[in-house]
Amino acid sequence: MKIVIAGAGEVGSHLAKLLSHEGQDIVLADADAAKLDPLDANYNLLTVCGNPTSFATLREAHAGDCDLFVAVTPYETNNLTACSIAKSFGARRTVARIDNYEYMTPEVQPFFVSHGIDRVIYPEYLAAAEIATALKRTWVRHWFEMWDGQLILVGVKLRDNASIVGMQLKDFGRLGHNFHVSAIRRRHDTIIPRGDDRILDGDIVYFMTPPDHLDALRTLCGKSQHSVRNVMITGASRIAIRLAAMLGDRYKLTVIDADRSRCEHMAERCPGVNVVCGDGRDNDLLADEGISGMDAFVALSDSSETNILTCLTAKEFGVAKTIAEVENIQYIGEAETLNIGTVVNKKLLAAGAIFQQMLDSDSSNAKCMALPDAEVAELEVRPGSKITRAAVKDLKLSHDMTIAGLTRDGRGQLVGGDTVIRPGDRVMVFCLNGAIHKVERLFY
Amino acid sequence: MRDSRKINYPMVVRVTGFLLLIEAAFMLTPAVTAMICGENGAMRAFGISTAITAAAGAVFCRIRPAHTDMGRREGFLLTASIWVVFSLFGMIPYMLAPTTRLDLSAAFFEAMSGFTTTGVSLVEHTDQLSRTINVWRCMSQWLGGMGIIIFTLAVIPMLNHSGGMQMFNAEATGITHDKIRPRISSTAKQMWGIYTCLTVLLFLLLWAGPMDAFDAACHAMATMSTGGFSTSSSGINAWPGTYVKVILTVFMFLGGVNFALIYKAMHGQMHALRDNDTFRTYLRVIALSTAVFIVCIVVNGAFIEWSNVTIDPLFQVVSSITSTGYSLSAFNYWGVAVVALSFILMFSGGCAGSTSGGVKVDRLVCLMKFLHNEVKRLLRPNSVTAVRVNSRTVPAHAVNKVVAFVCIYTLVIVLGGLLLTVLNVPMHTAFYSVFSCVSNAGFEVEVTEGTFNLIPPAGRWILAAAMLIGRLEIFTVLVLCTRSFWRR
Repeated sequence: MKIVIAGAGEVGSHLAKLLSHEGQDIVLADADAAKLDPLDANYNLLTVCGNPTSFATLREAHAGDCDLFVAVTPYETNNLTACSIAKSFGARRTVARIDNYEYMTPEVQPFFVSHGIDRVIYPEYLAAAEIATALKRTWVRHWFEMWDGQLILVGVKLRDNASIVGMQLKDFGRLGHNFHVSAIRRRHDTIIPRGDDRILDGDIVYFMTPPDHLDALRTLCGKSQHSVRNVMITGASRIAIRLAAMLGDRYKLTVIDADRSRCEHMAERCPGVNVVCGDGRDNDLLADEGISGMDAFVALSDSSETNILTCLTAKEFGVAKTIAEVENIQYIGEAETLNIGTVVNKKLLAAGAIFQQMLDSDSSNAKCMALPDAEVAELEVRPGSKITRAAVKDLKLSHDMTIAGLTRDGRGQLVGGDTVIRPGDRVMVFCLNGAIHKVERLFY
Repeated sequence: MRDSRKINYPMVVRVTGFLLLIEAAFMLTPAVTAMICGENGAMRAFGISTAITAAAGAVFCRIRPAHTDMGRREGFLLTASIWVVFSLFGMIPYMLAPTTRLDLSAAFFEAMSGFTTTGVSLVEHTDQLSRTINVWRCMSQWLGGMGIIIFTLAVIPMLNHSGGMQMFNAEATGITHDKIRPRISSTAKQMWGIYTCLTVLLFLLLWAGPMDAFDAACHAMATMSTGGFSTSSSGINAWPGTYVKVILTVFMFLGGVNFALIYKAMHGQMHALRDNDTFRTYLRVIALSTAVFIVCIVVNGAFIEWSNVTIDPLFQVVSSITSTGYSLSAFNYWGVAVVALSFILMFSGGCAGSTSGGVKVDRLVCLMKFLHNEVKRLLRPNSVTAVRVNSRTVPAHAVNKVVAFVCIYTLVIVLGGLLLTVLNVPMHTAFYSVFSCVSNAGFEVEVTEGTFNLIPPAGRWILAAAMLIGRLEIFTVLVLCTRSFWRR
């Protein structure tokens, strides 16, 4: 697949590396040669130096015959313009990154489509939605629903109080539990487990389960659900504003930021929120604002390190649920081992959204979530695709992917070795990085 | 997490194994030629060589590395060593074939001269060689012309990742590499595609002329790679007509042009040629040198017929600047100034990303602009200047690298020459032959005619090393000589 990415910022270069690793034809365009040079010298992709909104640059990048055009420069207007130009050249599908909620609403989509922008992605919105989910379900780290909620993928960090720690996967079948262990994240690696793998203390385990079995699973993991009412947020960032708008008055929010103008902006945009101007790293300030009475703490400042450390401080104050925005992908593993409840990363969220576009070049049926070194995708099975030819255990699937569950005729079911997948099923696939092209081959 | 500072030797050996299998496949062509021509001795020699190479390749391939990552170090190591390994296996036929029977140092020199497209030969009477050996000589030039690694990237999907990228960087000529397609394997495929098409076209054109199929094929391969081996001892003079000269001039010229540019021109972007500073300079240098050559020819009274002042000097200039190294017999009557000028042309070489040798026009353009800026700054110390090539500013570190390159290039010539004089090689022969080898030109003019035979065996190893350094453009070899490359 030919993919042109405009903008070699954090999201753009992460996507370029990832997609090049997946074996796609990548052209990366940016005006700054210094950003492109290291990528050009070390990765299997083509770079074009020039302004992404210039006709000449986009022509040089062959935007006209690409299958997917992704504009992720820091400026929304540039992204929209670049997509529009690329579409006029003949790009098959265009995606622009925006940072304005209004542009996401369904009413304005026909306008964008008529101007050559097929899809918009809004990483800050995706991050806010992720945080909102995490606040609703405090015991899970990741929560990914299949299209109609028939099956749910949950990532749970297991401690030694969970009854299943120390058990081998093949024993679960005998106990008659209704879940599928799709993957295990152990320290910095993600493992697709086999029957003789054992669950250890400190693992993050990804379970696939129907919604009616969630409570049983929670007890099995030794977790309890507590309701959240008071939330403290450090950093009045764009994500914080989006989050406040999304949560409404279900929660009582306290936002702390050191920058006065950002505080004022926040207070103006979100009237019900208690905005405090001060340093989130200051323990006295946190105590004054009543951190010990908080049910959840969300760190959204610009620095990943500060976010991780303030979350740890909040833990010491006795806050049960902590959420940190960590933009350095290398730090995510560290943050996960350090008891931080949920880690949010805009790059991964954006990558998930782009993967979704990639997997689903014709319809809008695929759904995708990106983890630090794995992807989860929900795909519709087409008639005649390879995956329908035999039972799952006879398909000789490669070891870096697993099929977790499927929905057939509106009902979710788990997938075992004997399951035969039929056209029209919606299948949830869990695969490690670099394997998504294998998934594509199975389904198309 | 893998320690990236530790060299992944098993993987390097395994890839070397794959490459040897490719070399064995290439060796089959001369073996088939031998079968057709009924040359039994040569057929045996190539049979044995192919078997040895294939066996070594198969053994190396059996190594299963713990992990398949290849980083920068592996890229440099593999690229530099593969040229040596190819020469080591490629020399076996020269040692076994009944018409050559070269000793170890001579055979290695001959093989290295082939793969690096230098084109100097220790065989005095090439027309007494069996056809089979001639095919292998020209074929090794053809393979080395575009590059062994680039060929491999085109055919083995295994290297289509960032490790392959490192190897491509280590082998490709020029200041920076030119990618024409997003994936490295498709870039390599396009390059080889163009190269092969041009070679076939040249073969057909030569065959249509006075040459027979065998001579045409050999010359097509040796010319397109700007190598300069010939099937005749008198070189290209065996076909005196204008037709052969014109055709060869055109294709040598193309061999000195950046293949990425040819790709663009073939895809209808003719403006790419027009806007390219390097290409324009390449043209200008050729035009200017030809004019000087004509003046020298007239002054020295060698103007006998019209071809003496039209195609002859042009042929000679293009042959020098692309480091092909074909020379016309008339060249010796044109005076000393012409010889000196062809030295300078050899030093310059063709465009980066071509099959030619030398410093490359790109670097010289960059260097000249840099010098111009520096001189200007003497008078206006506060002026802010930039080195602009192809309407892009060359970053300061790249300019530094160019300056360093030209310095080390000169240093290699001086040191190599010095080493040869230690071995009692006459002074001018010593410096001239090192110069010729580093530039991958392999000119044999008056001064050195047959003198490569005078060089003692130890000197042949030095010259072979010079050829390798010149072909890989110094840094790839140089980095292997540093301590920090090997030490963790």
